[in-house]
Amino acid sequence: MAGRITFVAFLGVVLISQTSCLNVGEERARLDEKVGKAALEDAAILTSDGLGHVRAFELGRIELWSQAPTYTIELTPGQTRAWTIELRNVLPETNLEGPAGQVNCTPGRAPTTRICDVQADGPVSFALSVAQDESQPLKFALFADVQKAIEEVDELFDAMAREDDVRFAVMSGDLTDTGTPAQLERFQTKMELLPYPVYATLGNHELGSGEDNFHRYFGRGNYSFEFAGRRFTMLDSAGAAIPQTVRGWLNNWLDAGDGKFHVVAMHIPPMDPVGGRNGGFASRDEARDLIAQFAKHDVDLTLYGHVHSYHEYENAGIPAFISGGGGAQGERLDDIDKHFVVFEVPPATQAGSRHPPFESWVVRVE
Amino acid sequence: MRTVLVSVLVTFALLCAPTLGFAQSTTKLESDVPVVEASAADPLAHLTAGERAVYSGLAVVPGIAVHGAGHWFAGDRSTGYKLLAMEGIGLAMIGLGLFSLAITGAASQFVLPTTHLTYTGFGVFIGSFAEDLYGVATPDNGTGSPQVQAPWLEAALGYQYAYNPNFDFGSFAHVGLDGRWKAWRLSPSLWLAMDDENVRVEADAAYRFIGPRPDRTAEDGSYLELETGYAYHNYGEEEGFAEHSVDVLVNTRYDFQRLSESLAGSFMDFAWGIGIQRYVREFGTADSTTITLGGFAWGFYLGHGPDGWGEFALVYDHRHDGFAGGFKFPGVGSGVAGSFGARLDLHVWDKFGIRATTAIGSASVSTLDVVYQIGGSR
Repeated sequence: MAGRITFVAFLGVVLISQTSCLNVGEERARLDEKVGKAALEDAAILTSDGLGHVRAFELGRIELWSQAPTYTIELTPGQTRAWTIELRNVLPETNLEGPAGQVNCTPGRAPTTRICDVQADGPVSFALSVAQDESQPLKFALFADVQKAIEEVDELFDAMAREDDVRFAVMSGDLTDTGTPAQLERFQTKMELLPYPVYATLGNHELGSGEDNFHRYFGRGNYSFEFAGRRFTMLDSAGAAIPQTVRGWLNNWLDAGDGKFHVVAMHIPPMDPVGGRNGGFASRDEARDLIAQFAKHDVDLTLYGHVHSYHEYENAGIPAFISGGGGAQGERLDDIDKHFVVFEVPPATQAGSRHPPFESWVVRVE
Repeated sequence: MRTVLVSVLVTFALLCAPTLGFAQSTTKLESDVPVVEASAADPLAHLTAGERAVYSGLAVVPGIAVHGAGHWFAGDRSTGYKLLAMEGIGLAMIGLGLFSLAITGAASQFVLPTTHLTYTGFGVFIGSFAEDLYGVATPDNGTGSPQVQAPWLEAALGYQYAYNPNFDFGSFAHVGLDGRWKAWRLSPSLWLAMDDENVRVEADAAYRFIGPRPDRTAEDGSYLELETGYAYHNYGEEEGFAEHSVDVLVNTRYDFQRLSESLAGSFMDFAWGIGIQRYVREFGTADSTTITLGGFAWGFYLGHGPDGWGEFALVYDHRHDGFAGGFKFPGVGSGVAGSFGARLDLHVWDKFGIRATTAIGSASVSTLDVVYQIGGSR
């Protein structure tokens, strides 16, 4: 009798295991696909690759949260001819390039906001226009793991703002403590104090209050863009894994990055450099598979967060940096506290060589 | 494919369940080894089936919060208090582990012992609840008895189905061997993908300090052994990487009959260890890392026949590599946990049995083996 009951119980466990969802993050990938498009009456908007998140869409007024320095906006104006496009989280010199030439935009409520008034008599396409010099080095900053320290994040942003020539920052997740709308809004308001945009993906802490809050404020968690001849790819590893759909997108982004300096950033690193801690992916073999894919495409730089410290190491020979010093309680005995990292990557013209050298330095925030 | 596997397993269960019950109840007692006699010391031996049902309910509510409540209400207050103390120890270990992780910020210098402490605490906590329920629900002498003399050879041959959305593999042939000589054990295993290039080879060697051996009869199934192992896992050309790992583990089993006669036939396993891994790949350079190993299992033996064997266990494995990997908890706790699963070993006929395992981590993995055992007795 016990054998029979046990066998049935065992089968119950088998059934549970076989029907469990293993594709964690797939739901958020589906949300990604919805980002960057909106329609109202006879008007509609579509941004390329979902890089402009439509925060508001009213007849005559559009508000876009940008996740890249440049992208295109396809506008079907319907009966409305005059439109005001508010571009948020963009480089301060951003303008729009339309069929009739450049549309000069004016400063908005924040250094990274631009207001663009456009006329559209029919379906029209605009591209965000900024200066890009492939022959010059490119500087950007990396930070992550602000979490509960959101009220003290100004110290970090003040220090980041003082860095010369930084074009934008990469935020590799854990913007907030539990990802509530109020916390995300607070972070967004604070980060608009910076003189340059911040391109963020989500961390595991953004999942503390549901799967879709980050998308409502920032847009996609997985995206890729090119700027000044370099490619940047942001991945949503908040679930300690990359789902199958995103692996498909990633293949295309890696192909697009071939021959260019390619930076890949995500929150949870595939492998924690302190292996026994397991501060990486849930499956080491999935992690290795992902890193092997990066190596196959000669990714030049991988950036992570999640571990509240600073680590500089290599995965499969690719330089890797963990910067988790955004203010969350730090790892003890590591001799580093609140910080961010600045990278200066070489001119795009050097990118033909395998892993061209770049410079990086840690800026401690006292 | 998963649906097919589940259908096959369900069909197998329906066909085999009556046979398994028959095998358990009619095993001929021809061995010289004495069968475990009914325990006069079991303080709950007098309970009727109806009473056991009632106390099982009490072991759940309020037992889910106050472990040992089932025994306490059933009149075995001594065991009830012991299980309550066990719950307290488990909670203290969890608390201390999590507190240490929090105040050190999971610092690399402390993370190994605190991780071991934390999951062991979870094991003790879960075990005290499960033991209470087991003790009041099962009849005198429990569900079964351990093999107090270990078999000198166990050979397993079977099929594994592993589903991971990120990999193409699915079906594997599995063969494994456990050879024992005195206190030593050597366990080679092979998993060979039938639909992919994936192959995994493991070889473990262990020395048993305490517990059943082929040449020595033990008091019960409790054991303590030190194990070291090597694993090679090649994911094939398409994935382009392979893993080598070397590990060392302390494996233990505690038979709960030692704590109370009413818990006879149940056990807990704990393991603590560490490994070093080296990943080599077609593109990019190789790199090495460490891995925390260990886990716990709670289970019970099945059957009392002297020549048979059998046990069922619910398993937590903290390792994050291998087929199962770690569990993909959605939310803030992403990536921390290992895999969860179950293991069933059952004697079917003569020297043959089956071994079924299932685990859910980053992949769902189920294995069904036919086992041939030489030696070993209860």
